[in-house]
Formats: sequence, C-alpha cells, structure tokens
Amino acid sequence: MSLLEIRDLKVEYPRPDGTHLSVLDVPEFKIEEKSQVCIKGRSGSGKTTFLNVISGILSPTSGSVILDGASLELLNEAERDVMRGRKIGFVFQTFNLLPGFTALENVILGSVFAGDPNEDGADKKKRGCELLDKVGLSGRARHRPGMLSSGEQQRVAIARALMNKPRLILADEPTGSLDDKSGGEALDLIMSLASTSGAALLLVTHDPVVMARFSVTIDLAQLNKSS
Amino acid sequence: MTLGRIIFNNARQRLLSTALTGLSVAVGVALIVAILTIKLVSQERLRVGYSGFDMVVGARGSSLQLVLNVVYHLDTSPGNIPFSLYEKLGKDPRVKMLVPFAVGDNYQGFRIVGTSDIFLRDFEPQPHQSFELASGRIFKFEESELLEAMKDAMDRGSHEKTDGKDDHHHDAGHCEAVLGSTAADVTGLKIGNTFVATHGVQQNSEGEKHQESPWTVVGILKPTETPADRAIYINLDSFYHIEGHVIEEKHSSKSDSTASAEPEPGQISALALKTRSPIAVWSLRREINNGDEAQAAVPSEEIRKLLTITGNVDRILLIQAVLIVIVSAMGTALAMFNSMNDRRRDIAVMRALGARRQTIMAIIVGEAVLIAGLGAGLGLILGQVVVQASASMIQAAVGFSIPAWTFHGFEVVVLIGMLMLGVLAGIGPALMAYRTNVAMSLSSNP
Repeated sequence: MSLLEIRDLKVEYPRPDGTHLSVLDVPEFKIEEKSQVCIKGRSGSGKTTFLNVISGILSPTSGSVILDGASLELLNEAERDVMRGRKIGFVFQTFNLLPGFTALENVILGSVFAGDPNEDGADKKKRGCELLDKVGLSGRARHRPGMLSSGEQQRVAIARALMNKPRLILADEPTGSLDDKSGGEALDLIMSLASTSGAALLLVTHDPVVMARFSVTIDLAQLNKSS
Repeated sequence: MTLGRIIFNNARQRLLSTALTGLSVAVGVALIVAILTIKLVSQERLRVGYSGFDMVVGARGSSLQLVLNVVYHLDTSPGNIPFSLYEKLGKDPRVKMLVPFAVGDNYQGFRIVGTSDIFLRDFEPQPHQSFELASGRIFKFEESELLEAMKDAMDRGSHEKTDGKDDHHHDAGHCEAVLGSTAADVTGLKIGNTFVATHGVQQNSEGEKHQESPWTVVGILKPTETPADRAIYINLDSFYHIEGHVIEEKHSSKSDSTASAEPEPGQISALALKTRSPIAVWSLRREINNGDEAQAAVPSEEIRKLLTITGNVDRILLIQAVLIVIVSAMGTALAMFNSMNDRRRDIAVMRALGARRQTIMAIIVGEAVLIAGLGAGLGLILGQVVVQASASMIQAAVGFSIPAWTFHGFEVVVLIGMLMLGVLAGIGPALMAYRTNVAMSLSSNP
C-alpha cells in the first residue's frame, strides 16, 4: 500500500456568478514510502493548494486523500490536526519560524501539539538538540530567528519538520528564499535527513536546479486536469 | 516546552504591550486593594474602639460627635454636662464601670484627657486587653480628691466671677500624666519629664498655655493600635486644679474650630460607662435622654450610622476602581485584538504543526489571563504600598494604625476576579484566532 494515495481529488471555489472555479482536479496520485518526489509547476498553478489538501489543512471539494492508511475525509478536524502533526513535516519557503521562540523551542514546538505522548519534556529537548546538531546549528539553540541568517533559519525549519518523526515531509519551495549556496545546502539537508529518517519527501518547486536533484519529477500541469 | 511556555513567549514577544496593559490592570487592582484595606481596617478599628464602652453620656447635640470625641478622640466636645451626673450615675446599681472625661487641652497636638484611674485600669481598648504600661505607673487618683477639687474649682470660679482676681494656688503634686505610646514617641516625653498644656484640642501656635500648671509624666502605655495611643491622660482631679481653665473658658473664642469647650466648675465633658446588663443600656439611655441635662449615645449605633455614611463613599470609590479594572481588561482585549493581524501567521504555523483550534484558543486566552494575573499580582503589591504610604497620614488624622502587609481574604477574590476578567478579555481575540484561515495565512507574505 502506498504511503499517500489520492483519488479523484477536486478543489473548487465558488464564483459570484454561481459557477465554480476549479483549482485542482487530480484523478490519481501516489507516493510510496521513503520515496522522494518533486512536483514542478509555475506560480499559481496550485502547488501550495495541493500540499494543503494532502496535509488536511484544506478540505477538498470531493475525492479522497489516504495517508498511511487513513482517509482524511473520514477524520474530523481535530483528528486531522493530530494526524498532520504526527505524520507530516512541513518546510516552507519563508521558513515560518516563530520570532519569539529560540531555535530549539521552534524545533520542539510541534511536539507540544502532537508529539509522542510517551516522550517527556527532557526527551523532547534532547531530541530537539540532536536535530539541531544534525543541521549544524547545535551552537545556535538559544538564538531567536532574528539572530540567524536565512540559511540557518531554513535549517531550523528542517529540524522542526523532523521533530515528530514524520512519515511524509512536505516542502513548499524550500529554497525559494535562499541564495544558491544556502539553497543547495538546505536541499541537501532535506533530502539526506528525509532519507535517513525513513520519511518520504514531496517537494514542490519551479526551480529547474532543484528539479534536477530528483529522480522523479511530476509536472503539476499534467497531473492537474483543471489547469 | 509546555503550553505555558508558549503563552509566556507570546506575551514576552509583545513586551511593551504586555507591560502597559498589565500596568493598567495593576493600577485598578491597587486602587481596589487600597480602598478595601483602608475600609476594612477602619471598620475593624472603629468596632474595636467602641467595644470598651456600652454608652457615653455628654452634652446635648450631635450624638455621633459625642461618640467620636469620647471614644476616638476625634472632633470637638459638643459641650459639658453637670458633674452631679457623674455622682448620680456612680451610685446607680445598673452601672458596672463609670469613667469621667474632661477635655479641652492638648500638648503638641495630642489631646489631654482628664480621667480617672478606672479608665487606665479597667477599660479595654482592644477586646479582652487592658492598657499595659511600657514604663512607670499610672497616675494617682482619689475619688474624694476629685470631689474636693471640684468643690474648690466651683468656689474659685464663683470667687473669680465676683472680683476677677486669682488668689488660689493648686496642688502641683497631683498633676500627673500617663502618655499613650504614639504621644510618647512623637513628643519625646519620658518618665519624670514635665510639660505644659495648650488650650484647644489641636495644636495651635496661638493657643494659650497653662504655664503655671505643668504635668509630670509618670507612665507610658504600651501600643494598643487604637486612638488611645495618641492621647495624654491626666488625673481628673488635677484638671480642676488648673487656675486658668475657668478664666480661659470665658475668653476662648467659640468660633475657633480647634477649641473645645473646657468644663467649667461643676461641669465635666463626658462620661463613658459599662452596664451590668444589656437591658440597663436601654433603660439608662431612656432616662438620660428624657432629662434635659445630657444625652446618652450608644457607640455601636453611632458607629453603624457612621459606617453607613462612609460606606456610601467607599462604594463610590470602589465602583470607580472596578471601572478602571474593567477598562484595563478592555484595554488588554483591544491590545490583543490589534496584535491578531501580526500573529495570524504564527497561529497558522502552529496549526500546521498540529495544534488544534481549541489549543490556539487556550493559548490566546492564557495570554490574556497571564497579563491579568501579572497585573493583579503587581496591583496587590502596589495596593499595599499605597496603604503603607498613607498609613502615617491616616494615623495622624484618626489615630488608627494600619498594620503592614495584612491579608484580609478579599485579595484572593480580587485575584480570581481578575483572572476571570482575563478569560473574558481573551475570548474575543481567541475566537478570532479560532477562525484563522490557515492556508491563506501560511501563503501570505511575512
């Protein structure tokens, strides 16, 4: 069974004239466990919407999303929140670190909401420190995002995405706000850490350099029948 | 990390807003604490003050003025009553304890009260607590000498009325004084020191001094935390030995608000008594009030009336303080509402990381409660600081001491009330956070 399975997925928004604007129409899409898949698409093609639907942040108009054997449409919102927190790790283009929290606190944050209930505070802190060490920021644990460079912030975000030992990492243009060097380093980290942690990686981008790093690249324009 | 830490970090992130809103809460709470503390201590002190006497008897006029003057050493004496009433009540079997008072002089602003030794021996300024001497002894008092002194004074008064000359000299050996603890501390008088009284119940540089009648300090009382600490007690018989009293009474200006009518020969300022039974209070009062010599007032009733009057003022002040607190809570809500736009993205990130809507609501409400709680905590401390800062002023004005950092129980109610107000203040912003569109907020530019 695939880690992620999408069937007849449709996302539509109502128009003022009573008709509907179709944003996504994906008849079928699958991701296998531990695979690394790149989805390319131009700006506004629905890449972020696609990731939001997969993570349960956005409910589709119709169709089904099955993640790790669980149909999202059968879960209520709170259950989807927990599922997202435990099984999905997010890496955003703009990092989205909380400015009032230290690097370590940002990493641990997700475990407060949906972490392993058997892990206590000390375990979480230890794990957060280990992840910061893996992304090369063990000396920056107490620094707030404002005291870190863009590349460092994205590395903190990558560590955060791995905190709850997710089955799937969703990366939305993770190198989009970084220079080539930092972007390359961030991409290396995402791909290697996803691989070593056993998580599948689904990355969306419009950057050909990033696409070139993946063996599997899918064009969203071909996947999405509404485009 | 816990939800508490997340709440704390959020509040710290907006430190200025948190500090200002917390401070406004603190000001309101401080006012409530100050008003309630002073009110409760005053009520307690007033109740304690009258518990020593069942009834006071004095000149006809304001019964409240009479009680305030006799029991609390406040206000001026409403006038004098015949000394014969003292003799008459002294023989009444219903009277258990009878204390005469003569007032009208002061020393450095501390009222001089002529009284008998019974007052210092048997009166209880605090429930079940008589006066105790810190040093020295109480003054000598002989009932027979008082009667003789009164006769002498009456003779002297009538003599002065006829020829205007003063050919009498008093027995200085009887002029003994026992000082309340505050009076002793402030005046610096020690055992064996002498002092000269000034006419009037308040310090007045123009007041005439009884230069020829110095009193010798023979005792200093321990603190009682009542207005009694601010009085200087002299033996009543010596009061009537003072040559100037009769003459000065004739010359003193009645328009002087600080002056108090000193008893003329054959008169006394007031009497305070305890009866053998509660029924005796009512029968004695009826008898005295039916006569035309004096009025009888029951301190508990008068103080109840006074507390009703001051209670209305307290209530208005309290309402104002509560309004300040409510406005500060609204300010907290407003500050949080204003910040919601900035934190929408943070909320969306937390939702993306697995936080449920209810968790986000709890974080926002928790932040409002934290601000209210910190403000309330600071307010409780500030309120006590205000109380302590005004304690000396209050003691100077009414003689009540306000103990430092006392806990009355209402502080818990105020704290819980503030926390609940914090919850109410946080609900609006929390609902706003609850409705945050995660997808839209995540895709918006930071």
